[in-house]
Amino acid sequence: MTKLLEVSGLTVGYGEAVALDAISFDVARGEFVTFIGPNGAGKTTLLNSLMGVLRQKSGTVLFKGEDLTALKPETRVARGIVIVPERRELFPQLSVEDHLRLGAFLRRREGRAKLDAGLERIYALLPKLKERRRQLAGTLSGGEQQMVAVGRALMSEPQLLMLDEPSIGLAPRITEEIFETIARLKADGMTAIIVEQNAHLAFSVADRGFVLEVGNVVASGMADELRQDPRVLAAYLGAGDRYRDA
Amino acid sequence: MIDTALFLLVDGLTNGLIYALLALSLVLVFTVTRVVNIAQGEYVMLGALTLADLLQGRMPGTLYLLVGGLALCILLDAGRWRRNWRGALLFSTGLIVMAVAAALITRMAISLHFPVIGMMAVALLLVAPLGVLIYRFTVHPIPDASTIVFVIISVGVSMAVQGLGLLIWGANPYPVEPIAAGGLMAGPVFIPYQAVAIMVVALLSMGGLYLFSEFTLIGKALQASAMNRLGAQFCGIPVNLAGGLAFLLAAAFSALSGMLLAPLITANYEMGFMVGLKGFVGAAMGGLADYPLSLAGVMIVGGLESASSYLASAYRDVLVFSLLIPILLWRNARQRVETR
Amino acid sequence: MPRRTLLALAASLILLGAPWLLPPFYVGIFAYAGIYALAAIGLVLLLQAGQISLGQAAFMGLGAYGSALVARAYGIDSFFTLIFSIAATALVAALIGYITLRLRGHYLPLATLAYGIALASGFTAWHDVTGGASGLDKIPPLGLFGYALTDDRLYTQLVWVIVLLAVLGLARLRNSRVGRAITTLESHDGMARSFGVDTTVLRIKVFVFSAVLAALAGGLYVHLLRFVSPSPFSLLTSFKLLIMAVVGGPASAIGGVVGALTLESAQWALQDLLARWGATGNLEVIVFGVILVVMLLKWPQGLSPALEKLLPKAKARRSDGAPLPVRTLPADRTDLLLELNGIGINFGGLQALADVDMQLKRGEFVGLIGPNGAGKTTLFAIISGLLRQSSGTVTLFGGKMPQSHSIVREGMARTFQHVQLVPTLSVLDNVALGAYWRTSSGFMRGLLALDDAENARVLASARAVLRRVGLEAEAELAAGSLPLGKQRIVEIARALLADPQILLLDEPAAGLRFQEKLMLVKILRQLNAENVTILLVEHDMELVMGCVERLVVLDRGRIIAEGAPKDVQANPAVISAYLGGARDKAA
Repeated sequence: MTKLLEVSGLTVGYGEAVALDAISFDVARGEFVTFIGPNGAGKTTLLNSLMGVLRQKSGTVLFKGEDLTALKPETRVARGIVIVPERRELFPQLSVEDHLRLGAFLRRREGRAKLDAGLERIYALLPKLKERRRQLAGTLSGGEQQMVAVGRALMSEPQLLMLDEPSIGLAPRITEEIFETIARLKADGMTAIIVEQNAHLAFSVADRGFVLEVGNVVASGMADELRQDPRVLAAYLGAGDRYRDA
Repeated sequence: MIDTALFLLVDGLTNGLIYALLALSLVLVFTVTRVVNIAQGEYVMLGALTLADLLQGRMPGTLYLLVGGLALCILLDAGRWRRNWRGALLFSTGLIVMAVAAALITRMAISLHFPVIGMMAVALLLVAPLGVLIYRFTVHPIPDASTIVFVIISVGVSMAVQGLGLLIWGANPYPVEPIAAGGLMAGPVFIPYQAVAIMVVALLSMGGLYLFSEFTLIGKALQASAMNRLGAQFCGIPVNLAGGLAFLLAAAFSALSGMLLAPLITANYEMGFMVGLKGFVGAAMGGLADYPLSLAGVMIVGGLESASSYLASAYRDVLVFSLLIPILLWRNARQRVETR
Repeated sequence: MPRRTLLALAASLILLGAPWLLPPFYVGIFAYAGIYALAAIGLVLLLQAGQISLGQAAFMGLGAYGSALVARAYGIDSFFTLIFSIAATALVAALIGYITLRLRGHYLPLATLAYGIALASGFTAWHDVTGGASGLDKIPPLGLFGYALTDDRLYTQLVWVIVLLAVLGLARLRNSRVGRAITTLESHDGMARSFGVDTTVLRIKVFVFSAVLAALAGGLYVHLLRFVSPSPFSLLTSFKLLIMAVVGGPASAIGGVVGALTLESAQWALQDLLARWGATGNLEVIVFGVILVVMLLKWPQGLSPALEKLLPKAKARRSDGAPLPVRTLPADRTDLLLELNGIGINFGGLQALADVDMQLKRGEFVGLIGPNGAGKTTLFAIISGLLRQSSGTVTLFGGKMPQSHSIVREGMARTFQHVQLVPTLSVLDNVALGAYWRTSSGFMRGLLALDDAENARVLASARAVLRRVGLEAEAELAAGSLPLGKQRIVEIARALLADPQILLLDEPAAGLRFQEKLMLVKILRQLNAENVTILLVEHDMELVMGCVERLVVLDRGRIIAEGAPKDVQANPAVISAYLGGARDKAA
């Protein structure tokens, strides 16, 4: 299996603080990889850095063999990486369909027929969006906005999809719907990195996982094994007593 | 009584629509780039004086500005030659071609004695790219600067451009022919054709911008960049180009308003600044972000100006600018509520 | 005598002696340079407070017209009319400031533009009184009881004496209680309020003082020229003053002088050059415009940082006073300090918090935790008084939650998720801000350096606190140069100097390395042993579990568990909240 993404020694920080400490991993075509961990672990920082929004202090990121380091986010989208951001980053006064068409901005020269077909595919995957195609994004519910963000990202026919905490702020039922959609994408052969706080949901769709704790990977492995690993619980709820006698 | 009222109405409407084009420019620039462009009025001056030169059969000094600006662009791009010489060569050649084309078209327009409308198009061709150049020199290097920094920078641009205007055209006023002389009688009121032209152009511009924004992908992409820069980047939209496009369109609209205004008040190097600032007062009503409110704002300014001029009040400018403060206070209060 | 003072004396002597050494033509230019320097210094102070004004020349105009017109019409000694005019301008500025300083972001510069133009137009419009665009001549010279200052050299010397006094005063102000508060106005408004600074009033004071300097400059201008007209007080002059302030650099008052001298000499040199080439008109504005743009692109801090590097360091102020009095914390650990009842908050339809009940007793060490999006930050904001709840009550020390800048007085101090230190100030000065509410030297005392005794006490107490947290060695370093871990400790030190009963810590361990976290825990344990109540929001679970005595767990806006760390760690509701439900979805 070819490695789609190869990350080595990625260190990202804000000024003095180190948010990610020399992270290395790779993702093969067709794989779903997940990064779980509590808040502040560095998960969003990871995706923002892979997307080019945050500058890395050191390390390399190779996508299809090409070093992404100097590229701006919009260029990375052109290379085939997209992100469904934690805050969705939608356009409040534009409609659902506008969002989807803008998602295909880079494909705009492919002709009306192809783009419309792509649009119908997204509507088939996310029927709720079709119902609300003319509705302004600012008036949608949290779950619907998340679907718009996912649909928009998919419209560019990406090779690597990155999802930043897809469950955040959503009611359990909507979260289920979103993850059902994610599972369907996996079945269709998409490659993805999912960053999640909710370990259960993450393991339900991922092949492999990494547990992040304050910028470091503290455990990794196949999703099935990791699910039972006590280190996961420890990362979230703090095991260890290094501070007992400080 | 009704005569004066109608006269004031037409006058106010005309003024208001000139400022409307200014307000349009200001809102376009602010929403896409977060720049409060105090220098926007200078494009009014450039448009008017370029047209004046063309109509008098002279090569406009604006050409020097354009060529100089393009040359500076090539210079600033020098760093790219080492990394990607093909791209840099393409870029430089493209700009040189643009400069030569502009010069040739201008020469041709003058020799062939284009009609006023044709000359206006040529003038637009020369002035609108200056907007992109200014964007390239002042906003593009520091896209994440605060709005306050951009305010001060636009002050500098305003001073520099006005000074260049003085250098190129001197302090004398220049006459500019209207699109068509004379006018028509609408009941008791005489409406100059120029005023009609202003109304038509202003409405067409606003309509055109609206259609462009709502019905083309690029227009939507521009809106998207204005609403959420990050989100637009995630769609692959080149947000820097969006900024350049906004500046281009804004310069075009402002230049157009200058060309239409010049026959009414004569063109000189100082004309742009005050017009720009009055456009600000109107646009501030929309918080620099809302088109319909800005339109309402400039109409109020236009009306106020008409009324004050009619009353021969020396306090015209005092009134108009004092009006800005309560508008800002109102918008500020609304903003606070919206962001909570 | 310290080297910096020697240099300052030398520079002053040169500036004061210059009028006697320069040829007569240049004396006038030098006088005007001084006058603009004075107005520019006012603008520099404004920039230090994070405000821009595009209307400074309008205040010059008010000062000029006020003094000129009254002196000319009523024959009163211009010395008195000048004072009257400055006072009147101060009143106008106070009014304008009160109205406009609540404007945020780019609205404020636009407002300054508005009144700048309105006032300048007003000078022309009210031509019956002001002589309109052509102005008025026969303005009396500066005079007092029959003595008239008509000698240009003496006048210039007077101007520069005033300029140097202004520079001295502002330099003194910088190192005083109010000066420290002013540095926080630009980007740390919330933090300043949490330490007792009434930022609204302070902004107005700074604005008025700046207008006073401008009015003084305007008055000096008009009694030198003996002619008054609107054109020197136009928008263009406001722009030039802004350029002077930006070129000189807002970091120090000297920037105003440097900017003015640089720009005035450049202007004369350019005009000379242009005249020789046969060009007419004010073409030097092109250069100035370009200079402004280039300065902002490349050196937004202006020339003064480079200058400061060349100069010897300033002597630090005395820090040998007796420490400030502290409140004694009772040992009674049953005192209820903070109580939340049924707290709920709604953000446009989204219920971020609901039914939150919480208590904080004296001497407790409590941690607030919960998954992302649980509402911790919102709850923390309500507790620290920055956010008002939609329902329920907060009782702090037995009473209602006071206004944001009065909370620290009651005894609650906090640190911030993103460190809010002023990076250019020293660690000592940053910590000293904590004592703002415990002291009272105001603007004038700071300017006139009458606050020496009180300031010495503040700095002594600040040193003592730094010693307590182990950072005494770093006291003189710039706060921005410290590693993040130490910066967070400095924030704690500052909060301690506010003599709190409750210490609120917002993610104090975020971004710290392990050794720094150990140091943090050590300090916190020590403080708790001294009966300081601590409430902590933190994501590093190992750290939280290892040092607090009680946890409150939030999920989706509600409290789902409370208790000792071991109990919370084993609580199934908590585990489920963090890791997700037990339902399994097959891929």
